[in-house]
Amino acid sequence: MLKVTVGVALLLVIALIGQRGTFTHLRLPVGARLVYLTGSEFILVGVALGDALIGLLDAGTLRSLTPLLSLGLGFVGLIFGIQLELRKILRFPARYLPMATIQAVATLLVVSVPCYFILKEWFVDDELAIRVASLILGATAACTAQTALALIGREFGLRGAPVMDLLRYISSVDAAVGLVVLAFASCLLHAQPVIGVDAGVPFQWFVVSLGIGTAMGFLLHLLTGVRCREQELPIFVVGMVTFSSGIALALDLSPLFINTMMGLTVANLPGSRNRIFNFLARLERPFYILLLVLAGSIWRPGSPWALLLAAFYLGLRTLGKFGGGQLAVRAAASGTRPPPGLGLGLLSQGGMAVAMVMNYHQLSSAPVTAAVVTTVLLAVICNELISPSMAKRVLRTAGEITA
Amino acid sequence: MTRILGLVIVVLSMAWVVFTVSDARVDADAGSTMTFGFLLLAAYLAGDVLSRLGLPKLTGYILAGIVFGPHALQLVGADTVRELKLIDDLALTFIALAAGGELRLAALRRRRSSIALTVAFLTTIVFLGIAAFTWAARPLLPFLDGRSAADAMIVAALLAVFAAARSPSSAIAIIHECRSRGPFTEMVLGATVVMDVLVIFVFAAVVSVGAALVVPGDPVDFQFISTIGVELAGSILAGALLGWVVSLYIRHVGAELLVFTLAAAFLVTFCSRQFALLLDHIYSISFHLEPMLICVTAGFWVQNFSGSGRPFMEQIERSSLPIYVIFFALTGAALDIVALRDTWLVAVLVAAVRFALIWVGAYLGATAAGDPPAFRRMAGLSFVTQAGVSLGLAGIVVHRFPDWGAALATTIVAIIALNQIVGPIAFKYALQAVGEARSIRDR
Repeated sequence: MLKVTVGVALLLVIALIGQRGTFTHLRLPVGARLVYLTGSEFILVGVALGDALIGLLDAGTLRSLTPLLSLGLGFVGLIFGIQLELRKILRFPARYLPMATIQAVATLLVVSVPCYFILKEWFVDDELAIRVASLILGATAACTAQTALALIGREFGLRGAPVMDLLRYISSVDAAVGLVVLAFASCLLHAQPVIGVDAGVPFQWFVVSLGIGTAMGFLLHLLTGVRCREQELPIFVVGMVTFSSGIALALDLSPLFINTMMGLTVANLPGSRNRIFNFLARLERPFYILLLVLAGSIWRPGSPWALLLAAFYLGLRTLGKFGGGQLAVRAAASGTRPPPGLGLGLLSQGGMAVAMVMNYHQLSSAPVTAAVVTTVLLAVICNELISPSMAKRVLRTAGEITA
Repeated sequence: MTRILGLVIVVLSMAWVVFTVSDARVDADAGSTMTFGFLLLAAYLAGDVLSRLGLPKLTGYILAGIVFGPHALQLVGADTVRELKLIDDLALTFIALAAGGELRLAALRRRRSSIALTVAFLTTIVFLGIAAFTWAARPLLPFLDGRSAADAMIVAALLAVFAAARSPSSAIAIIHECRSRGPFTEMVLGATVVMDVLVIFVFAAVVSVGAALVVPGDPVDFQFISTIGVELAGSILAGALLGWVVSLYIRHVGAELLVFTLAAAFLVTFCSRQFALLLDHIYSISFHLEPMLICVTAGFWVQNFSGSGRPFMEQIERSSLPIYVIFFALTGAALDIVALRDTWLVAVLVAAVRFALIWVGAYLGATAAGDPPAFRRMAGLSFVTQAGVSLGLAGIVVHRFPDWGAALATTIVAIIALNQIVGPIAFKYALQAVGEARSIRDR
């Protein structure tokens, strides 16, 4: 209990300090900025607090912090979903959406398929666990974070640059592909059918996930409608996020996906979308930092094979992003043709991948889970280090930056 | 209408998960996450619906906890309520800070005669009245069958102490809900906090004398009484220290005040508990700092000695609603309403007599202090609610009087349940009647 209390207090303080320090306008040297401003440092803080070093956030304490973690995952899902406003997405050129989808699906396949065989070869686990793990690796690989692009945009004051806009667009929507795969992977863990028919059990549960997320979205819309006062908003948003996450966990479904569906539903209904978004935006950074710290603390490096897997994953993801980018460029039939190597501008992996792997860790107790967590977290840190320079290279090739 | 519909959907969703998914699958992690969200939504919506009928929202939060809790519909399990203790503690810390922050020294000085006389009359009349009533009605208490007169006297005295206890957390929640300001509010809050401290002292004295009477030959445990005194003084000192640290933070940093205050108060409270366990474990010394008093003192210090009372209270008020909702919903869920079924006659009688005695005591106190007629009539309605401290003391009774303590505690819990439902309604009515409550439209 003491550890839980100190853990909670410490997490509050870290989130507080982190919120004020990270992603700010601090003028740090380039090297330091790569490490510090992306937020990856909080994974290392989590590692230090976890069993690996200090042991303050040990397995028991982390278990007690499940509601906090679920709230964090739910927030990430909701804030992602609420940005998927169809009206706004359609404002961009029509080819952008297929381009984003193509590169995400290509990355997913390039990572998932080889990882399936690697996991099967290196880790002793049942077939289903290996299948789920490889899908999770693919899903996390498909995500692109906006951190590196945001840093470059700020550094060069880029506005109205078409390649930069395309990269930003892709990085803002391509996690949807990963989230769908994550939701489906969690449904694979179900053996019991929903409707008494044994065929397509995972699909049945996937439909349940979709249904719960959408229904919760309608409920949030109903509660935050016309009569909702400002002071009521936190109650409804926090209440709905934890309630939905709890239902998801009780049914062994993905809280991240269900909250994304909730956000998606709210985003596309007329009502209080903007008020909810503004409220979420205020809390986005503390929750993101909280997730990173908790992710670091659950990290158990496990076998040396996990480190090798991480190296393969990193290489496969880079290949997938590059190949996916090439395919996406081919799909762009008209207008400004983006430069070849576009996918290398999408290496930043960030928060959504961390949230996905945390979600997977909540749902799976298979032996391979630790290796997957190690792989994704190492990749996130490495990608945060290399992504800004790669993105700059792409933009330089496109002639949008000169330095 | 949308709120009722929302409440129905939330309750049906929870019922669907709880009753269709087996217990084995709804594990502790999922249960506490889901319950937290459910209670927050269901209790708030219930409070909102009841407020349209003129009832306090607080009553809705408590009723939601009772109805959906482990002793009624069982949508929320007893284990889950225990698992959410951490959140409950955090909320109590917050509420205590708010209560302390509402106590303004200048106002207390202005109202000191009212507060002192009300406390004096109220405590004396309620204590003597309930003790006499319990003595007279002892045949109605089955656990006293065949017991000695000394046992009956101690039970009467203990019930009398519990009858004098109040709930500062409920008082502050109603004051915040009604956005109440004015001399009447100041008097009620001041008297409530003073009575809270006083009751702990009187309780210690009764338990010590009672234990000596129950076991012939045992001397009165003066050490227990003096330890309580030292504990209360220690709590006030710890609270002042916390208040000073918060003041320093406001002066030199200021940002994210609420997070800092909550984290600090929570840590101080928790460390004081660990300190008590440590003393008990190593030196067999029983010494417990009172978390509620620590935080009330800290809030009082920040309000009156830091020069930062205003931003502090603004922060507290801005964030208070979700805290009140979850705290009182959990309070309701923890109330053993089944106890009322077993002891309803005694509970209803004691609650009714207590209500009447409180009204008389408060009326006389206010009259002696020269308060306006409206204050005199309404003061009695403001001291009915009971909650946390009383429940905590009931636990001590079980421990100190093993022969009949558990049975008495059941009766006490039943009385608290009644007062917890009636009290907020009466207090809100009183605040409206004296004209210090602002309606929602005024906000």
